[in-house]
Amino acid sequence: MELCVRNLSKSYDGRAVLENVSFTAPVGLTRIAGNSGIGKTTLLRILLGLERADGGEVAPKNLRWAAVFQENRLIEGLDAAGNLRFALGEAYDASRAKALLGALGLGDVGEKKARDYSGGMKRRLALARALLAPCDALTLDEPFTGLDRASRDAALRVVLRAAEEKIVLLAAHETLALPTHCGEVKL
Amino acid sequence: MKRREQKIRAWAVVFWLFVWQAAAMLLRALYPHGALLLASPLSSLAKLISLAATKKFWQSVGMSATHIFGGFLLSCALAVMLAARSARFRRAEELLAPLVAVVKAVPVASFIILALVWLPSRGLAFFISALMVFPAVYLNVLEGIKRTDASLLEMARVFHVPFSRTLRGIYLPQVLPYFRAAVSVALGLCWKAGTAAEVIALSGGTIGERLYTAKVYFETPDLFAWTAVIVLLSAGFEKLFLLAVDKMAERMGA
Repeated sequence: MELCVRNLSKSYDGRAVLENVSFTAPVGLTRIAGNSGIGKTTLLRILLGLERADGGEVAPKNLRWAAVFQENRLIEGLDAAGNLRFALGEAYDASRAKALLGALGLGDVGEKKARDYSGGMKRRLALARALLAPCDALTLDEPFTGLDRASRDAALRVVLRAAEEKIVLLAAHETLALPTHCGEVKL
Repeated sequence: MKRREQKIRAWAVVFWLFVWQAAAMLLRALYPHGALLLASPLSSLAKLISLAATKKFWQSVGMSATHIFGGFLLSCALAVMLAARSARFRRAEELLAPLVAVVKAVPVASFIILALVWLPSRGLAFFISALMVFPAVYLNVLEGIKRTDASLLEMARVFHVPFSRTLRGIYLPQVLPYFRAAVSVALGLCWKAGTAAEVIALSGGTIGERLYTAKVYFETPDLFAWTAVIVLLSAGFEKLFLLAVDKMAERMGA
């Protein structure tokens, strides 16, 4: 399985945001690098099917995606389990969720509503939601924003574990200690 | 500046009851038929208790409540369905806009008289109550749907969340506060307009008819007692309905 992006272009009001972007991403982690405003989020949104490209191709078309968006996009009135159940439906597995939340340092949140979480906790819950979703490919848009060093390292570990069997596209502006086998796409 | 919460205090209620009692006593002292002009709170209460002991009282209450609350429920259902359509299709919203504006602007008395030409007097309260509720619920629910967090809807789309779950998890918690606000206003309105329609149409066996009879025979305590019944029913239905809405909102995490 390999994601193949060819000559992808997108512009807003005549201003080009993406111009002939081409890359391939195999199973594993691929970092989308580039300065702020360069079009990383636009690229990920096109891959998720939330925006249409002006030109270019993405293959295969039938990939099942999950995502960590730039914002957390949690249902604030629900607790962690409620948010996971909402997104995952029948795929929700309580013991798997508990283990992952534990690995992300959210083992003790209980029935606390998402609206009462700190920014970092919300980010980790959003990450857990994406990692637990049954999918072939993941887009992670600045998934470590608001996390302290220890939380970021723990989150990166679970992301790398997920990348062993999925295509993971990671857009992150900060310097990360990624293994050498990870790919990189410069925008 | 922090606003003081507006609450009805028991001492204020007692004060106004005293004013009412004093005014009734004064009128009785000044005029030989003063009791006909203003019944005292005590005589109204006594009348209410004696009325409540009769079968006819409960039949009138049941008849009016069925018509008014029935109109309210049907109108709510229709307003929510049409608001959902309007939020989805701009043309539907455009089509309904003049109709909603007319219903909002035309005085209720005009509708009552017009409806009397078209409908039997028995069904009038049902129709008028439905008409009063529709614009408030339709416009508020439409606003609630329009303000639904688009980023959450995108999230649901990416995670392939089925519509039934999106409805429960995203739309309903968002729309319920708007629906609640509309219902809170509309329930009081439909009782006022509904009984006014019953009075004008002389709908047999209803609270409106009993109010009219009380007025015709100068039975002022009856008039006050029936008015109190309308106020109590309106407040009771509002409390119960809002309680049900709040319970639903709580279950949905809104």
